Amino acid sequence: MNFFLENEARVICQGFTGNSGTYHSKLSIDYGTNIVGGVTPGKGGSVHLGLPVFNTVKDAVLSTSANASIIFVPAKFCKDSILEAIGSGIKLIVCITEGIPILDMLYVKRVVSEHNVFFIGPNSPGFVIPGICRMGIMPCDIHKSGSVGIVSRSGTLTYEAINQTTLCGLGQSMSVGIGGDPIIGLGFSDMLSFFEKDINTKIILLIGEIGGSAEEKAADFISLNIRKPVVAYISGVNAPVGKRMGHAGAIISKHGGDAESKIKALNDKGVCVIRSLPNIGKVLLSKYKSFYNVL
Amino acid sequence: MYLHEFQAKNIFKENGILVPKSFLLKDVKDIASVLKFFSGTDLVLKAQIHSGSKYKYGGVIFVNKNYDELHSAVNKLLGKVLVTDQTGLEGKVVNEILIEERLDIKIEYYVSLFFDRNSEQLKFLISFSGGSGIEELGCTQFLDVNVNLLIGICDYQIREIIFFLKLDVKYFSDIKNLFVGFLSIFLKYDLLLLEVNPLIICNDKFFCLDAKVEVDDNSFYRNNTMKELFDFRQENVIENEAKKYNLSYISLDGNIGCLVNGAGLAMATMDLIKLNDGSPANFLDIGGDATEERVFQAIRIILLNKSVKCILINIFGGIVRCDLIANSLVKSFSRLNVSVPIVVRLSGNMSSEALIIINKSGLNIKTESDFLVATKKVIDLSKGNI
Repeated sequence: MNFFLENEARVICQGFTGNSGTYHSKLSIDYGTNIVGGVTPGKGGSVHLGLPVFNTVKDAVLSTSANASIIFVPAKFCKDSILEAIGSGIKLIVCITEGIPILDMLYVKRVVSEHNVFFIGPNSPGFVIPGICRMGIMPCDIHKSGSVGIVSRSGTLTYEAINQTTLCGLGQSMSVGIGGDPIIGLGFSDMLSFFEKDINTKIILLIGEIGGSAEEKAADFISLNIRKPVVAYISGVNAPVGKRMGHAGAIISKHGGDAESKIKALNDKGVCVIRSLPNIGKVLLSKYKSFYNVL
Repeated sequence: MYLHEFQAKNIFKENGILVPKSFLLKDVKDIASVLKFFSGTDLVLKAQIHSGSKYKYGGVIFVNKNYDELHSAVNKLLGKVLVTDQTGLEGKVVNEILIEERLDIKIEYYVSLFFDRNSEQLKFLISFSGGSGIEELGCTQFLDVNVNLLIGICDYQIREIIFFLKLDVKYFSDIKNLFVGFLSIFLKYDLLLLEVNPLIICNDKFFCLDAKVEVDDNSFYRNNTMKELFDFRQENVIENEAKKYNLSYISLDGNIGCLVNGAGLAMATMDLIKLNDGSPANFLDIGGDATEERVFQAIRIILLNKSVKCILINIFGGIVRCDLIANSLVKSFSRLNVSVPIVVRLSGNMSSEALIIINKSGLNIKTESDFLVATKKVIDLSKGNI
């Protein structure tokens, strides 16, 4: 299952000529990502960052054989842009945009599930395979090729974790932010099974937060399907009930979603949960050593 | 964003759903008009605040049809602060009273339509013992009806509802109109929750005696009328101020002000403070574009909370450059005349340059690149140990 396309990715950027699209496309190109062009309706035919700009995703696919898209389009146009990417045959979509209405995502999710599309986000920082591919907005210089597979619902918190795994020497096989919204594309279980099969990944770090029940479902999934060691961190232990903590999806409701229940669910299935954020690197390293009998 | 009951009921009315005849009282002087408006029916007065459990906490008063208790009932509510288990200790001010004719209740139903995160679809939840206190009735039997957005509600689902509620089949079209109406309101106004508790039958017609509605804030760009319904008087003053600058801020009850970039890291910072026996005064995510103006507003807003004894600034510079943040901090400090001690932890992009800028400024700012050390330092300050 090579759904991140790795060296075969031919990436376009929707919202290419906007501020974020320009800034991050440039960083990604410098990182080595195979960006082949971009889409901005009305600017087709022009050249941006030395690459062709197209009016539609269909045009971009026809002339560049693009198979992946990174979306920076503003929230109010984003549903349309995602549907355009799917409708034009794009197979891997990463959506950075934050603030898409839930009803829009309900429709989008339905269409995603009817097509063979890998959809990451929305409200995601994207992913990085160190030294190979960067799709998104993660900082470039914190990554190091290595053995930890990182999957997270957060942004800067993920950078903090990536940095710790770099400093402790383990490095990352891949770091992916699946998004902080209530409805997202690929979830924990999709990434967990990817990491389980991925030969570069030796240990998995799962970063969850309050809201919903994705961590509880991940705990069940891990106990049934994952043999590699998994370490978790859950943020929002002290978040008040009923308040949205920044991310649209980070809210404890009267029906649940609090951090302690998630931590308990993971602990019950044998997953080690780190309480103190600065210990992530240290704990991963000791788990790695004990699991693989390394000194 | 939550709407008031009267706002939700106005929307119901506009969309052909029955609610009791009502008068919205904002001023004691209008009592005469209330008496003119109703004639000879018992009344129910409902305080309009953003909270459930109003009946339990004195926010609902019944007045009989000779109206001699109307005046005193109004005075008990209007302009008063109501504290419930959902308002926090500071309570919420009653600026409006919804006065309704009291309908004869024989049997009560509960209906809600919401976005179910677990199944990622819209879902009706129906039960036949409505009334207040539904939250406590954990064991009540509910009927789930999933809504496929591409199809809408099907007749078989209406039949399920009718049989579940033990209703006569003659109500088929009434129930269908009602549920189709709820769904169309939900979609038209981008709701996250629509709850009616109770729904009753009176004179062979269905009436919504209560209405609770939550709107998706992210839809305001296409729903301007909804945004205008927002009652900022019901929200925390500092949180309102933060909203003006698009800062994500939540008041907490501790004394360490927190300024962090990123929601996840902001929560993790609160957690680390608590884990080390400190107490955060707020959650604040300054977001990805930490410009000078945003840094200034963030610090100003944190200091509006008078319990704040010290501030922890935790920035992981990824895309954001720490040296720019440091410059903004130094400028904000001189503009704001900050008197509480500050601990700044800057890590990542351009952080060593940033630490030099702060240390050279001569301001009362302690710098630290280690997250845990910075946290422990600010906790010591909050306890007066330094």
